[in-house]
Order: sequence, then structure tokens, then C-alpha cells
Amino acid sequence: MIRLLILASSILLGLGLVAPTMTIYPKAGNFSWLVELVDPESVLPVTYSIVGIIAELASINDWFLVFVLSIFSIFFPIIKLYLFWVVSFSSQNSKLINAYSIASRLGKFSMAEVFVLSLALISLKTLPGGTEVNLNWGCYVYFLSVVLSIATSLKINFSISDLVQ
Amino acid sequence: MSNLSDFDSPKRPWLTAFVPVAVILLAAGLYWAISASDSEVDGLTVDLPDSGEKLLSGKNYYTYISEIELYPSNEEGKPWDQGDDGPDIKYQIKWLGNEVFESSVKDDSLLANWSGLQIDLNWRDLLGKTLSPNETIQAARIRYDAQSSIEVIVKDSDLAKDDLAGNLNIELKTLRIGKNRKDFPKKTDNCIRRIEITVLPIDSTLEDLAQFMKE
Repeated sequence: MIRLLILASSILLGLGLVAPTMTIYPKAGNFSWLVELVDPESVLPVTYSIVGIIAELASINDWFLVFVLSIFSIFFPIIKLYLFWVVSFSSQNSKLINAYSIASRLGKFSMAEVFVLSLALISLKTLPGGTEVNLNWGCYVYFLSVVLSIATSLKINFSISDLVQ
Repeated sequence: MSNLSDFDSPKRPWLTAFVPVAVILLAAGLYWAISASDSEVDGLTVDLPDSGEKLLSGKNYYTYISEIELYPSNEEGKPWDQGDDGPDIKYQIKWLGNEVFESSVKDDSLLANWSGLQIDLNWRDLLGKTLSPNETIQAARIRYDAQSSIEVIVKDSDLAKDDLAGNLNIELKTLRIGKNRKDFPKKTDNCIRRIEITVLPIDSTLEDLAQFMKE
């Protein structure tokens, strides 16, 4: 059961990283039609995936955000699932139990949940000039992956508690 | 009951743990491959008006001169301005005997271009000015009729009196959608070497018009 959860979470995480996460519909207030006329390409809707956002940030040399987003939204969730999988094979190996405690600690640093929430908040806010941000299915897939990862963590926790008792 | 068991524990759990990592990469790669092939099929199409297409009777069109080239001397065979300066070119379009458009002046040039898009803003406009697409598109609006024609009057704009560079009568049936190049010989009453008339359907989308006018 735990491994199934991990595999499901892995599939969803893989999809969520590259699937369309949000679409930005740029507007320039009352001058939207004018911008459409003079520079139509600048008001075309743009869709980003999480990997796409990071690539875009890299293209403008914003390495700090590239680092933060890559670490907390890609690498930590992957490492967490990796460690969960290791723990799922043995409960008595002290090394693996340590791995689980590392994974649990990593969970605290993983900003995947915060990232999804901030995306949701941006989509609710009205941006200048009437620019809109709409969340796409990739965001929900990523969110589902986070939920499954939390469920896995709880399941492992319960299992370890059972064994200890 | 516990889900964790040592029964099926692999000897090297650290290695088998790469299974979720592989699954993540596989899912991402699979989606990437599928979406890449989809976008290749769909492509990106821009619905520009087809250049060279005939004008339709009864339909309205934006018409403007995108380029005018004058001969180096005026009707009298003399330099355009008194000094070394070139002519200050402007043009008017007359349709059915009425002036329906007058262009801005392009200073000191034998070769003048107009994009069909122009926005005139003053500082006071920053306090609030409403612009409409009609103000921004600098072109004559005409309705096509095969028997009809337009008159293009090209002048060298001067403070005292404008000098005529040429007066051309263009039959609408000779025009096509897009750019229409017309060449003329030098005569005593004509100093226009070449004009390029751009004709675009008024019902085109703003994006299409902008795309075409920028070309």
C-alpha cells in the first residue's frame, strides 16, 4: 500500500513538474487594444510549467530564485519519495529508520505545499492592468502528488508506531 | 497492522529506491514527448490576410501608401528645396471626389515610408486621453467598387506653398490585398518614381492588421 502511494505520488510529481501549471493573460488596462495593435506578441497568453518557470528565471539570470525553486519544488520532493521508498522495505534496519527521520525533517523544508498555495493566491488576486493568472491542471496534479506524499508519510508513521508497540 | 515488512526487503534498498526517481523521470519524459509531438502537429498559425487576393465588391478596406519614392528633381527639373535638403513628402487620398485621408509629413527625403499605425500623444494626454483604433490606424477607408478609383496627390510640403510632386489616378480594380507596387515614368507633371499602396480589409482582426502593417 505504501509503495503504491509512493509510486502514484511519483507519477503525479513527474507530470506536475512538466505539465502546464499556470497561464498568464497579460492586459494593459484601457490600452490593451493598443498594445495588441503595436506589439501583439506581448499580450499573448503564456503558459508555464514548474520546470518552465525555473527555465524562464534562468534565462533572465535570476539564479537565487532558480536555486530556491529547484531545491524546494523539485529536489526535496524527489529525495523525500526516494527515502520513503527505502523505508518501505524495512522497519527494523536502524539506518532506514534514520532515513525516514531525515525524510520527515526534509518535509519541513520542502516548500511544495507553500508553492502550490502561493500559486493559488496569485490566481485569486487581480494583477495590474487586469492581467489574469489562471491555474492549469498541472498545478492540481502537483498538489495531488503533495497530498499523496503527506499520506505516505502518515502511513509510514503509523506503521512504525505499530511496530514499536 | 503494519505495511512495513522485512520479508521482501531487498539486499540493497538504497539502489532499489531509485525506482520512484525513475518513475518521476519517466512520467515527466513521457508527458514531454507527447506534448512536444502534439505542438508539432498543431503548429502556430497566424491568420494574416492573404496578399494578392482580389478585393470584393461592396467590402470596406483600409488603404494607405506605405512607400513613396520621388525623382531627384521637381517638375521643372530643379532641386526640390532651395538648399541641399530633400523634399518634405506628404500625400492625400481622394475617393469619389472627397479627400478622405492626409498623411503626416516625412522631412527631407526622396524615399518616404508610412506604417499605417501612428499615435500622437501630448504631455497633457497623460492626464487622460481616450484613443480608439480608428485614430491609431492612419489610412483612408474606402469601399471597393470595380468601376471606382482613388486619387493619390503627392506634395512637397512647404511653409509658404506646397509643391505638387504628382497626381495619380489609381483604379481600384488594379489593386489587390496587401502591398501593390506601382512605377511611373518622369514627366513634366509627374515626379513620382514609385509608390506602394497597401490595402487591408477593415474587418481584419487588430492582431492581423498590426502584423501586416509592421512588415
